[in-house]
Amino acid sequence: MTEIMQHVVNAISLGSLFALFSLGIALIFGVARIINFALGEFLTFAGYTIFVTVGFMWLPIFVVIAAILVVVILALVMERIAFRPLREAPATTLLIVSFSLSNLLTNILLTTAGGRAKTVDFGSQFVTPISIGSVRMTLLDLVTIGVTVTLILALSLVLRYTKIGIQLRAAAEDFGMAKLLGVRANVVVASAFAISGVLAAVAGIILTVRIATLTPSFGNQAVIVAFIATVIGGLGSLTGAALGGFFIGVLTIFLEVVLPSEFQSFRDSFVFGLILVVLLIRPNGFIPTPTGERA
Amino acid sequence: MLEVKNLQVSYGSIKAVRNVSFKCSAGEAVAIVGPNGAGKSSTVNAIAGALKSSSVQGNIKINGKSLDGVSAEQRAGAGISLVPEGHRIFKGLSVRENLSLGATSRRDRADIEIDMNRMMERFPILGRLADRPAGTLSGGEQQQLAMARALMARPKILLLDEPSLGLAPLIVNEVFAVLQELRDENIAIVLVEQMALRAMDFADHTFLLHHGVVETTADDASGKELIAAYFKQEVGNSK
Repeated sequence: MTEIMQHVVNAISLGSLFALFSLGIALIFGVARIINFALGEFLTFAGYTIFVTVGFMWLPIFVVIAAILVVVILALVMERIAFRPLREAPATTLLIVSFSLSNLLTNILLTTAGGRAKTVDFGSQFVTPISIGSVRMTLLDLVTIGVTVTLILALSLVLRYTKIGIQLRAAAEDFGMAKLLGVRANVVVASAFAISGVLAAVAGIILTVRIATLTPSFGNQAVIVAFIATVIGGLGSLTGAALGGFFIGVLTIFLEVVLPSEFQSFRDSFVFGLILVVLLIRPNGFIPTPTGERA
Repeated sequence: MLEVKNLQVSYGSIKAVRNVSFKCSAGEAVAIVGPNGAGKSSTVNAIAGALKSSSVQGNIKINGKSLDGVSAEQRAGAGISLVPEGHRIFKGLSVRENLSLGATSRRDRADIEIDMNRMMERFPILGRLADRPAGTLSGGEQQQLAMARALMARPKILLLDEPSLGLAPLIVNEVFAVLQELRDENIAIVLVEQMALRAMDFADHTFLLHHGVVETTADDASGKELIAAYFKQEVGNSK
């Protein structure tokens, strides 16, 4: 029983992190039909901001705020300079732009910070093992689950009860009609990028504490997981994206437990293989949307 | 109020609307009738700003001000509301949220709440279903929601694209009764309709579009007869 609880905690913790990644992708896709592969660099920039500021900030909370601010500003600048002028462009053009931005930002980090891995000593007290009953975990596991649940709840409340939230949901359903009612496209899309930036920054901070090592390609794996999670969740559905993230997290831990040791190094191949099976059974994901079907 | 001059709409090499001109003053109703593909929807969509600016040529003015380069959201702010073909309500949002979106370009918060209650009195079914997802409403209820949503903007010009399409005759009567009330409230109405005779009875000016060109107007008895005869023939051919 203890062992099962242990795996459940691990699965929920990893799933929470993946859900944070995927919500950022899903939100921008839902509103602006952009699959933003540069989201990986949002995570990386959060990590490097921690690396740069951790030495001179008084309190860790200031480091966290700085990381979130940098990523939100990066997200807003990206929307304003790269995506806004191309809003009417075909989806393939937007996809290529997002790949180009991802490469550009990685190379900016390579030339300014160098390609060598950086060790980040931030929040190491969170990765010290603790025991609750006989279940062993890290404080970071609990923080990850708590922060994810809080952010998902906060996002749900914003989307349900605020003016901008209702406009975001309307724009995700029929952007053309929303504009005809006076919804300002620039404000809605910029808001989606800003919220996506907050989610990605928090995910980046948690990942930095977890891994404690940074390279310019730090967020690459995360963005692939995020993209797959949004697809199996149902492209265009926020609930689906969160579900997809949790599903991949749970699947990863499940395979870690059941696979014989000689197959452990191929764990991710099994994860992606099973995802293929899921997509064969449900090609439009867990929660299909008209948007996703069109895409 | 609304002045459309030499309007042209093209989709690539296809010209959907050619040299359409008309005026619609406050409290007036203009009906555009014609067969499918005649360019009726393109005309109202061009006025609302729903089309790419590169597809639209000609001059559209409100109270003498040109709408050249004015975005769809700015046009909503200027008092143009569109009830589009097929309602295009937000199905995942509640009836109340749909109505609140209609008032996006307004700043008078207190009055918005009053108008929301008024809409629910004018369309009682919306009051009863206010917290339901709009996607669960019937076709007639969705049409009423689309009209109420457009009215939440307190429009000066209301554009309606086939508001009677797919509705039961009794509901069509209700729709036209509401349109008459709106006219009495001094709103300019541009109505696209397939029910030509009904539209002619309702409107001050009616014109027949065919292949994007104004074939005739119903401003005199002979024009009316021509349109009526045209539609009889159309109905006959389609049987």
